[in-house]
Amino acid sequence: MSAPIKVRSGAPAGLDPGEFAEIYSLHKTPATLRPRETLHPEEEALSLPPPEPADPKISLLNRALGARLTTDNPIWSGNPVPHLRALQKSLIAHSLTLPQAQRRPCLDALTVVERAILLRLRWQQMRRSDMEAVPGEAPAPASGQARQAARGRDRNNGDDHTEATHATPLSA
Amino acid sequence: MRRRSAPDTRDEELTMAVGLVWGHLHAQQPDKAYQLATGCLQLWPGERSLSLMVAYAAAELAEPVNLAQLRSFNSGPGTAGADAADVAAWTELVARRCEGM
Repeated sequence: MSAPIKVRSGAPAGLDPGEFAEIYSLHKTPATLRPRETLHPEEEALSLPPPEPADPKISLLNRALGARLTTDNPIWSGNPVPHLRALQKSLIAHSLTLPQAQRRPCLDALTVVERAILLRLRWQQMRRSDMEAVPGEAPAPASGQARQAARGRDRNNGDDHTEATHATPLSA
Repeated sequence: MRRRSAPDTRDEELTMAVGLVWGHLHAQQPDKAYQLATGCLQLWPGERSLSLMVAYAAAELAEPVNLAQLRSFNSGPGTAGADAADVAAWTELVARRCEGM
């Protein structure tokens, strides 16, 4: 336990070996959006391709069906899973009224809806864990402050459990 | 007719079904669009939006297309004034695709 602390105190001032073991010291740089014309060729090569012009077939279909059923459809916003489940129930209920040999189309449609539901549930799960990660970022600077405080205590006491645990990954 | 849970829910289900079929066409997955639309047309026989899309998907997959039914949408009683020209253009697009196969 005392060896890592010796390493730390033996390091030159301003260089904390513990820093290299800490992932939180990698600060996220916010993405800046720049127009494509201002990019270097290498940057452009790394960028996503420019958005494709809208498919004329699809835009014709959008006009024929109307925006309410296509681009503004509630399936693309909010939580459509209950309605999709209801659609599945209707498909099952209908297929049960048919003779067994004619049930295939309903069950194929059911499979397509099931895949759409699973994708949406997965998406909701990812969004939820993203939302949990945002408050989770708060402890990272807080633990940094705790380290600063621990370092202060370290000078006073010469021994601190927090400092030792921070130094452990370095010695491992 | 079977017992329905509520007419409102049925409308929502149809909207979802149409949106999902459209999404598969948009993502260039005519096989999934065809499967889904064919099954849903058993629940809503002759439904216009589903029929318009299933015809396109069927043409893509070289499945039989009911062009006569599509053309009936252009002159049918449920034809809305504003999008009638677009529905007719869509029908002709599907017809051209059938001939091209």
